[in-house]
Amino acid sequence: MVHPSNASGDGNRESATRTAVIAGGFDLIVTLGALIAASSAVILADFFKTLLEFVAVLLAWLAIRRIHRGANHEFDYGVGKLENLSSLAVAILMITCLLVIVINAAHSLFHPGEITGLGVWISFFSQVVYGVINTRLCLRSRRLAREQNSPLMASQADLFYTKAIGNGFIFLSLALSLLLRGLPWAHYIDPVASLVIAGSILFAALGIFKDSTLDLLDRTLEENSQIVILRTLARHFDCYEELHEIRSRRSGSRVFVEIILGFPGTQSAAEVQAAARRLKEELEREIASSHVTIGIA
Amino acid sequence: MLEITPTAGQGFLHIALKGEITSATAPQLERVLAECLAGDQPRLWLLDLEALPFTSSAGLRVFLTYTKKIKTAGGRLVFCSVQPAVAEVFEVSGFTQILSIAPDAAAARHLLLPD
Repeated sequence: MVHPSNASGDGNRESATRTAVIAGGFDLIVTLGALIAASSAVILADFFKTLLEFVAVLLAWLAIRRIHRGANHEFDYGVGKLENLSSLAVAILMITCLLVIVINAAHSLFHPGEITGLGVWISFFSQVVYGVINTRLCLRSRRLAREQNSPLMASQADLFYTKAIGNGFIFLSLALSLLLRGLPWAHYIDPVASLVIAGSILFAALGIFKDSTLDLLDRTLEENSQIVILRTLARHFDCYEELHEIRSRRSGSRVFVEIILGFPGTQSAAEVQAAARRLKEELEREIASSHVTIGIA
Repeated sequence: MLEITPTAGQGFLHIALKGEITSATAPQLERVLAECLAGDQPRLWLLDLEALPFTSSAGLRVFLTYTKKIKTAGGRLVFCSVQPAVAEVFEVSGFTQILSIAPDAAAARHLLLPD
């Protein structure tokens, strides 16, 4: 059963991320149009950056959809493999994009020239439009992250914030290249700015690598989840007599919780089992991807 | 860093906490509370949190465990002078529903020893 407030929260998150996928897809088409109709290293870098961002939002949307669909554990093993393959595909895509941007920037540095073509104006226009859209999506995701205490929405907010900053940066670099086109050194603005974008992609790639590595290691459960465990135990305060031990660990995306409780001798075995089952079910509902064991002392 | 000062007398055990309860200091608190519970101490306990500006979930776990233990042993535990940040954690974790909390030591004394 899905709790009504949780269902509403999941719906909002899915809706926000779906909007981001649609906006990202349209942005990708516009950026591709600008790339085809222009000669600019920055616009090439912008296209690859937009492509990577679109893939990231698309994967987040697919993950939210999978969580929203709920308790279907039959294909967990297969989905885990799919997630690993997705990460690998994103990593290969990032490296390819970086290589293309750096090689193109190096070529432009050795053979500097003016940025030209209708694509420059398409890019100008799209930076303004998407700057506004990304700022609005960032504010919306930040509000949802605050209201629902959702780390996924918080990471989406950070992503849109970075995208909005990127829009401003590309707008500025194109504007400077056009305004200062009479000066010989201004021809270097375009390739140098594309290298800055390549740097931001590399920074993001290192972040993904760090997070993925951490996910492979066992570590202590976050404070928020520890509070959820204690809140549930507080809610069931009168159902048990003694709290002997709480052990919890995060292993990748899975959470393991073991709680040892003491029950009064006056309670029957069936009552004890029922109380333990209620506690286990409630905790597994509250903590995503958790496996809870209630030990009876 | 956590200072724990238990003082017996006045018909109850007064335990003052000074510092912060983290995963590093929580075992120290648990040890002291276990010693007090095992010893020949009164059944009534007062945990004075006036100088405790922070507790992590490790501290909450100790509070929950010993609230249960003292209750099972037939005693009573009252918390007093809870600082704002700790009060917020108590509220979020639902502990305000299960703990006896007094605004200050005098009110706590009154809860433990009504007359």
